[in-house]
Amino acid sequence: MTLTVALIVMSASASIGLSGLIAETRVPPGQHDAVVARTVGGMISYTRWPEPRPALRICVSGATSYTKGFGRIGQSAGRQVATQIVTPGGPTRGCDVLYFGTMTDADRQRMLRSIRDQPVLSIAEADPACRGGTIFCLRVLPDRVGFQLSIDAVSRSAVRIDPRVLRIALPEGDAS
Amino acid sequence: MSDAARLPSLRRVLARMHLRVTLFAVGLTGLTVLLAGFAAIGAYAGQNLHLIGRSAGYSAAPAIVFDDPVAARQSIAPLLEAGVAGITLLKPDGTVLATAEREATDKSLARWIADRLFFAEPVDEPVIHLGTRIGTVRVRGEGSAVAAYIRDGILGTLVCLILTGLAAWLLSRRLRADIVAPLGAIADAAHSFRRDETLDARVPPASIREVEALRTDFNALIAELADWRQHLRRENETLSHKASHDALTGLPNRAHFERRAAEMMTEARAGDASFVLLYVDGDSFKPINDRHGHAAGDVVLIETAARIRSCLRARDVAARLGGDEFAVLLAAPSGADAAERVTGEITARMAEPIRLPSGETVTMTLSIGGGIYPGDGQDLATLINRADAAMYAAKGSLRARQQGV
Repeated sequence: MTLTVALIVMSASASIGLSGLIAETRVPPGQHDAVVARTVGGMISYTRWPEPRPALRICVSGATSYTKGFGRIGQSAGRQVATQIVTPGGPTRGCDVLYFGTMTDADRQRMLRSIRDQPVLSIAEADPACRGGTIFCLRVLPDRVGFQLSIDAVSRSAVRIDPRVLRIALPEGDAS
Repeated sequence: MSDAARLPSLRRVLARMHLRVTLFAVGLTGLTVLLAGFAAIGAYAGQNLHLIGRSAGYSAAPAIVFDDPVAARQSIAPLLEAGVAGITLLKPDGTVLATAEREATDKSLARWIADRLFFAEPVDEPVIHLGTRIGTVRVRGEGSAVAAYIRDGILGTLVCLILTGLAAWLLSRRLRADIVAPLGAIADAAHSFRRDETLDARVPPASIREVEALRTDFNALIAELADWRQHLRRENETLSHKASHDALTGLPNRAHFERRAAEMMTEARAGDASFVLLYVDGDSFKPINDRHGHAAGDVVLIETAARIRSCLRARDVAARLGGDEFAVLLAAPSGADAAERVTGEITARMAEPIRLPSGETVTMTLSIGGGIYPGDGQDLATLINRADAAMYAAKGSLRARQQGV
């Protein structure tokens, strides 16, 4: 038991060094869209905005592969959710969640700069190393969906992430 | 006596009673405390399981949301503390997401009993996220803590029982000193009084009021008994004196005289010594009695006896055989000259007149005959006969002298 606690403390400190934490979800074949939607909903449910938001707006930008289930995110997020498309590098005003698909680094940097210190939750669909500057980075594998958490990105944002999510996220080395 | 020996001693009875009372009290108290503590610990253990369940549900909620078994296990593992056998996370459909279990190290009977009594059923706590139930935490408790309490409680009670037994033993020793020893002293004194008739065995003071009262009464009783016994002895001495002595003159009577004469003869025979037996008879007693009355006769007899006695040594014996008949034993060694001297002294003393109560005076003359052992007789009867004959011879010569005058 003591060993387990030590392991968790160690993993937490190690993950800060790597600036990323990973959690993961098993995926039944052919259901990646649903699992990704549920994972994003879970992220939203553990995120706290400075002012309560009864309805959230998710802005999806760039080329995405797993957004077909976003229509049902509301179930797992626990509130009303509206999805809209934003052009890469375009304005982010009105977005509560910014979901990044594949786009150029310059576009992403521009968009991230525009939401710096703003109450916007940023999620990257295809950034396995999680160095792009978003708070969450999805890791979609054939049999499971995981995510990493960037502590640096959380500190640059006005939204707050429930510490329990930090606890369940594993460092990269342990993700298996 | 054998019945009394089979009975238990007072100390044993007191010690047994002490032991029973204290053992009962300690046993009852220990059992009560044990059961009360047992119930309280059981209740706390149940509450603890609910608390652990809620805690596990809170920290594992994200793992359920993200459907992550590894994270779920890591969330609940730190909560596996003493008293928790296992935590299971169940999804709403009843399938298991993660399980953490502790291996039981305590396999004692007490643990088994505690498990059956308090932890037979697992505790279920719902996991709530965003107002809906997303899963269930199932916590199974284990009774090692309660078992340790049972063991410690029984051990403590046993130690208390042993200490109590020791205390009862010490108390009974104290009782022995305070009650049993004084009672034993009284019993011993009574026993020695009965056996040895010693009356100086007084019982020493006791430290308990009742025993002390008993002791005082006992000593008083002994003292009274001693007085009574002494009185009885004096009475006996008086009676035996009366039986062996002449009431009028206080001299030994015939029976006593014969006993002493026989004793003296035995001693003389053993010591190869000689001794003298004198026979004394009043010559003029009957006329005095006739002329002056019986009271005067008594006075004359008393005075005659006193005068005969006054002529003898302490070891010599003077006895009144009856009427005006007396006998004297001159203790060995004595012979003819002693017989002569004593006869002369008695005759001389009797020559003095005796004053009667009426104021008149009379003179009593005596005839004395002697026999000397062993020359005049080897046995008492012969010796007495010789003395008797000598006395009558003396009386005859006196009469002849008187008639001749």
